[in-house]
Amino acid sequence: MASSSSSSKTGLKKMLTLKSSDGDEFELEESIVIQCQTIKHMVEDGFSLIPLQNVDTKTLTKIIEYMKKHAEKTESNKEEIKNFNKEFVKGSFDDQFELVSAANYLHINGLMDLLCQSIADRINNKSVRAVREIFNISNDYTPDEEEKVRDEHKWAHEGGEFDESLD
Amino acid sequence: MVQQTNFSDLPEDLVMEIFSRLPVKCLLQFKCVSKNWYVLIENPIFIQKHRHNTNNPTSYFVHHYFLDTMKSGFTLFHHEQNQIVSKSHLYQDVLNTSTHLWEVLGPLNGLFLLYNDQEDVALWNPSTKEFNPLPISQPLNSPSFRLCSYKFGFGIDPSSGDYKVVWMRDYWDIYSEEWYSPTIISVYTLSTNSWRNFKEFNVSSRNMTKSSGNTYLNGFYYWRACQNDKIFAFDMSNDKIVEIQTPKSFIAKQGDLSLFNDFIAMYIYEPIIVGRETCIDIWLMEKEGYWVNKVRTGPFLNIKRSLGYGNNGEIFLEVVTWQLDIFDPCLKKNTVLGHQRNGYSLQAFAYKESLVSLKKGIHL
Repeated sequence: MASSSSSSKTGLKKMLTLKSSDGDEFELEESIVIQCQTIKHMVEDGFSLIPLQNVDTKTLTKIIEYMKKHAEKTESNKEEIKNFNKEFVKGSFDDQFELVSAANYLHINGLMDLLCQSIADRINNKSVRAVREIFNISNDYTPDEEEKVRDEHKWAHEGGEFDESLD
Repeated sequence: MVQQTNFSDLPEDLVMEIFSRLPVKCLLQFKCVSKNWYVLIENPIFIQKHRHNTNNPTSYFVHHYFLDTMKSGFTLFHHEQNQIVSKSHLYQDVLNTSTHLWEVLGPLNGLFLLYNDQEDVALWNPSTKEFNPLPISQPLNSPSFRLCSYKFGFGIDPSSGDYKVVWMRDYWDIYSEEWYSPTIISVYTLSTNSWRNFKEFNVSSRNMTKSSGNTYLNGFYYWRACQNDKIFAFDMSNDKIVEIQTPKSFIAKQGDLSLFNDFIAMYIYEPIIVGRETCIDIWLMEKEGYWVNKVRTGPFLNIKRSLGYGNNGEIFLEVVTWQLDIFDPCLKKNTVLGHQRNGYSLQAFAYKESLVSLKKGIHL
């Protein structure tokens, strides 16, 4: 992105290095990284090289992309951010799980909220069968047990079509 | 080497975070996915989290009485970005009951208490469609006694997390032609599905008024005295009633008791006369017996009556053109909720979907 904005402060920007679980290092301005609560606390404790054992390079790249974009947030580019968010959550379910668990570990509240909502929106109205497949869950009910659970709230399984697609 | 993250690898609090954004119908269906999902969706901590999720939208629930069928029913209005988007109708027939329960109290955590003057009482969760008629409670059997006054309350015992229904009954003795004293108080506990009866000599249901919305707050259920000179608080942890004074200025005015941002609130106004402007003063009880005039709303012109209050100060107003409006005192804005056709609106509630189960009855 060409227009990387900086805070109006002049002079030296404080830089931080994030290190992924694959050993790759990313240098970033502190003002961008402090969106992440976990890192913010480490910065306050004087760290400037921050190892992130639970986040791989692929995921960290995505998260940095998110933090950079959201550091540019102003009153006037709300629409742009909205579109960015929309694109950001378009990946596969597995990518989303990877991202959401990293966002959870790093305590990036905005990103957590975005991902949890997008995963929920995507699974809402999916059929039980589709959900099992997407989440790689094996059905541990016996047919009798499943029938019993279904009977507890029969109406919830009726009315309207359920989405059988896997994306 | 990086291992692929699976949904089952996500920590439970994260799964709860995602699930808490799903509607009740979807979650009830997902109980069938696996035993793990079943346990999670039934987990009281999750149920509470789901209820508190800000993405769980507030809807409006209107209780109507239909003059043609002489039955009551409910209309659910959904609310999205300040637009009333869709509505669905729920008739009492969905409750599968031959007895008609036209009095409605609540909602508390998504649950309503329904009853009538035939001593039928039930709990209802419209989101899960659970409907639970309570066992019959007739503590007095003398043929000369007629039940002539009663009030209900509905809350949670904070020490056990159990739902409780309190029922105060006053009987008229047709032989002696006087009120039977004492008042009979019956307290129902959901976990045991039973009533406990006791006598009360100092407080009578005859001096209490039914509130149009939920007036349960932090372990107490509240009623307004008919004269507005005090309110009554029923302590859900020890089944005792206390009286709390109100300012003298409430007396001789119209008053409704409700909640406002987690305070007990009195909505005080002059009797409504169509064509004359009406202002509603919202008073909050900041501490026991200590009332503060928080905000004056209005003036409203052409309102007929108020049908209820939301938890954040929304006022449901019937406008003379048979229109139902919501007034938001913070935004100072009216939203049209709808027009009644063949029905008469009795009450309106702010309502949030809830997974709270009537089988378990444990709040926390």
